[in-house]
Amino acid sequence: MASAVTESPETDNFALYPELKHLLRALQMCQGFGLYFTRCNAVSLRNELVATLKATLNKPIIELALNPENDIFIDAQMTELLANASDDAVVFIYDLEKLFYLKDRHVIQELNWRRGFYGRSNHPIVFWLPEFVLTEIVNEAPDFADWRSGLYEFNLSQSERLDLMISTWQSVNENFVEQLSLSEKQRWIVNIQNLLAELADQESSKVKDGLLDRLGQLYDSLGDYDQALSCYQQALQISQDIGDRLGEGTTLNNLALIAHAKGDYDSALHYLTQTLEIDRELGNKKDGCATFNNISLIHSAKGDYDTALQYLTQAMQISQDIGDKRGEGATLNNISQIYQAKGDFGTALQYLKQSLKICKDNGNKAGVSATLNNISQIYQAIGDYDIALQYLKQTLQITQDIGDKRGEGKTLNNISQIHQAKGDYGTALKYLMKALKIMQDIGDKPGECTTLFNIGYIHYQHNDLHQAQSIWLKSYHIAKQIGLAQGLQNLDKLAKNLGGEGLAYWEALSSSSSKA
Amino acid sequence: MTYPVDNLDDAYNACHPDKPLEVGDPRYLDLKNVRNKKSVSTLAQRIVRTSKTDDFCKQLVTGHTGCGKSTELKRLQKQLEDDSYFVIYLDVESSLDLGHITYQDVLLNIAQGAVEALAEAKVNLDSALLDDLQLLLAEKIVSREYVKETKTSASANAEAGIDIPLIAKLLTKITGEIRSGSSHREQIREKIKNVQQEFIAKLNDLLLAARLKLQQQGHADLVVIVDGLEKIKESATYNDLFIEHAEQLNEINCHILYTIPIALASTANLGDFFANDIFFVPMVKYQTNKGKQYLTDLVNKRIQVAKLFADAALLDRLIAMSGGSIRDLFRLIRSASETDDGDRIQEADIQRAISNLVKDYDRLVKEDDVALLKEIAKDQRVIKDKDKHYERLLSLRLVNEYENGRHWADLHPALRKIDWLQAKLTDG
Repeated sequence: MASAVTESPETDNFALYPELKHLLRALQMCQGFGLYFTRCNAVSLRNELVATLKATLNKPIIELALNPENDIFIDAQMTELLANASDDAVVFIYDLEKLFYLKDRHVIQELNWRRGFYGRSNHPIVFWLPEFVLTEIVNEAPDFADWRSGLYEFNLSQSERLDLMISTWQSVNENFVEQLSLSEKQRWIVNIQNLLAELADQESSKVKDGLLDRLGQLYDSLGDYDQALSCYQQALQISQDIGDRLGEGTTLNNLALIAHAKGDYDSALHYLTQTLEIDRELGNKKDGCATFNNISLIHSAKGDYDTALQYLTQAMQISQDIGDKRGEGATLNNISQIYQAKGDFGTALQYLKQSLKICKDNGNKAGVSATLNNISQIYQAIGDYDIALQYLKQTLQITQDIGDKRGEGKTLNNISQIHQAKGDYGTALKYLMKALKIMQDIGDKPGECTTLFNIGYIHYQHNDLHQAQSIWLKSYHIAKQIGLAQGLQNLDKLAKNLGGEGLAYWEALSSSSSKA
Repeated sequence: MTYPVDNLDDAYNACHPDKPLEVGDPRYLDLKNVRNKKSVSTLAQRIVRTSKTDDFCKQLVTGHTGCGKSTELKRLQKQLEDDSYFVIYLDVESSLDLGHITYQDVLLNIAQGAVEALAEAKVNLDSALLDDLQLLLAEKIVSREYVKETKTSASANAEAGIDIPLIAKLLTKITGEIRSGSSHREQIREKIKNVQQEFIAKLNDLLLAARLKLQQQGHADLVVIVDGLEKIKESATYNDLFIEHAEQLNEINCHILYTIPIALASTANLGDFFANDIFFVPMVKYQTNKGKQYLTDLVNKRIQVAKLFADAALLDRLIAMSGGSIRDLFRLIRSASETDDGDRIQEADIQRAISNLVKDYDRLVKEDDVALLKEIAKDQRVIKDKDKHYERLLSLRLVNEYENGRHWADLHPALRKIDWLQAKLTDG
């Protein structure tokens, strides 16, 4: 073909996105106020479309990118921008989705009750929105949405959508999964499954590998270990097929975490040994440090504290050599756990204070929160409940600030334990119920199992054995269903204390209550 | 602009989905013949008749969003003013927080609106009456300091010419706090509740005095229109207002009209407190020839259809897709005018406008709605369900109510074009 290469991409957008010319025409015609929505899921696409409109619309465009730091009403920000604008200016509003998750600010409802202010602006206003915010607006701000003159949909191609999704995932921080609600996790799961289905007949690739790993992480966070395992095993196969050693290492590490949760320590160690080999082969010291830490956790779970400490010492050495502050903080925390388990609270506290300093100096909020929590556990162990409570309140604040829902649930659970130790069962129960709600909201099965266990205990202490048993049974069912080793161990011990024969006690109770 | 307009650019701006018409706008068309003979004249007549007696006429008005209710109420105001009534028009939406509104807020807003409107019209009320209300506010609702503060800041901002009494400024300030959701809000409401009877009595004294004064000045009577309450979304909120506190709303001593959410009108029995039938502004029966003709005329008042549509039959298709909702009809015309094909609306533009509207409605329908929609599609009747599901369908216009002798309901025609939904509706 002898066609010339086009230099100007703008001219093509009208052909690629047929709705664009209609939007252009509408904005050209509109005098005074008019409300417009565009559905555009990708910032890159939006930038391109806006550039085309800027080049072709014969009216000035005033742009307002919303920012969560700014808590002034959107319409007020707009009015300020329009103060010196010409009468025919058009307003483009971006990034409403960034305000969507703000606590204490009902951005969508705000649109509805402040819509009069938009109406009086006397300018056409275009909201550039992703699909989920648009759906939210038509349902939650119906009177505002009903003023719209038009809604224009701009769709990305499949490959662009794939890129977008991957870049979104990569742009979020490592605690991302911890910040999602159950419904958000489910939405991610569906999205990823859809993408995987679209890629089904394509060859193994790094993209597929990455998607499977992420899917596994989501399932893991929901306590759905079997699904997570299946994802990781597929991912492992792919990374081996394409010779992606780094990916293989990540997946093996994830597999080990699942095996750990299920109490299958031998498999966990087996996976971690392989991970370690890969770390060495790639000279990847940072991951090596994390792997040593994970290995130590398994030995510690098995009660072999000396071996655990040996690994932690090696991890410590590496993180200091390479200046990995995050790794150093985590390692100090893990060392403290060994001393705590051995009953040496003073040494444990020293390590925790070092860790706290490092995490604070490096702005590692998740690390600070984990460390404060561990410090509180020491004070609880030595019976200084008020100080323990102070530390936990700080932890709670941080988990809420960074949106770490799993951590928040765990902290509420720990707070309840202090109140329980002080004999204030009412307050303890209140915190446990809050924790339970969060864990159920995010689908954190292991957390739910522990919390139910504790709630049962409160009832037991209230001499309500019947109620306690029925709640413990729920806890047992979860532990059994997901194969949660720690939970099963606790229940085993409890049954023995109650005079039963370990887990068989719960089985018997379960079958008698289902018959009743 | 001279209507009907003859080019697409003007046509676009002649059709607004977002603005009611002001009185005297040449685009207005009386739709009473396709609304079961109902027009604002009925409302005005009730008021005129009642004002010959000692009674006060208390009325409730409702209708679908975008059916032309505000346009009609503005006409009512004009008609009454032409008959020498003094009308106070309150747009609650701009003065209160509809998300969290209570009867105390409405009472305050009526007091505030009345005092302000009377002052602006230079109807000077007996100062003892105003002082009385002010004293009640100072002693039992806010505080003396609060009143003093208002006074200081008011005199600092005093504008020459208009003499707004302190009580008006005070009421405006309190209403403002209620609207903005200040921490003070709950406190104020609680205190009004404690002195509710006294507050209403004082307000009534004031309204009665105003009425006498107005009549001396040649006005027939005083009428208050409280518009905007129909936009309350939460059923808990509007039930609390119109069912739990109907008595308080009904105790106002003047002719008064409240708008109410359509969902409330269809499910609750409000007859105990409000003697008149709820005045329902139905959707235009777009299904009948007469309805179609009126909607065509409505459009013809604004734009030259013959010139701007490639074929006049194309407009019929938009009308058929409007469900009788004026707002949807204008939105469809706006969409269709965004043609890239020159100066006339073509077949392809109609298709695009309709397909966009269908997509919009598709966003609103949920899986849970299907069973009820199926029932409505089958029987075309108004359903009173206890879990408020029908209310949702009505307030989102997924279902529209019509009236000819009896009330009946049908799905918005756009719903019939949603493939997945249609499959479920016809299934089984």
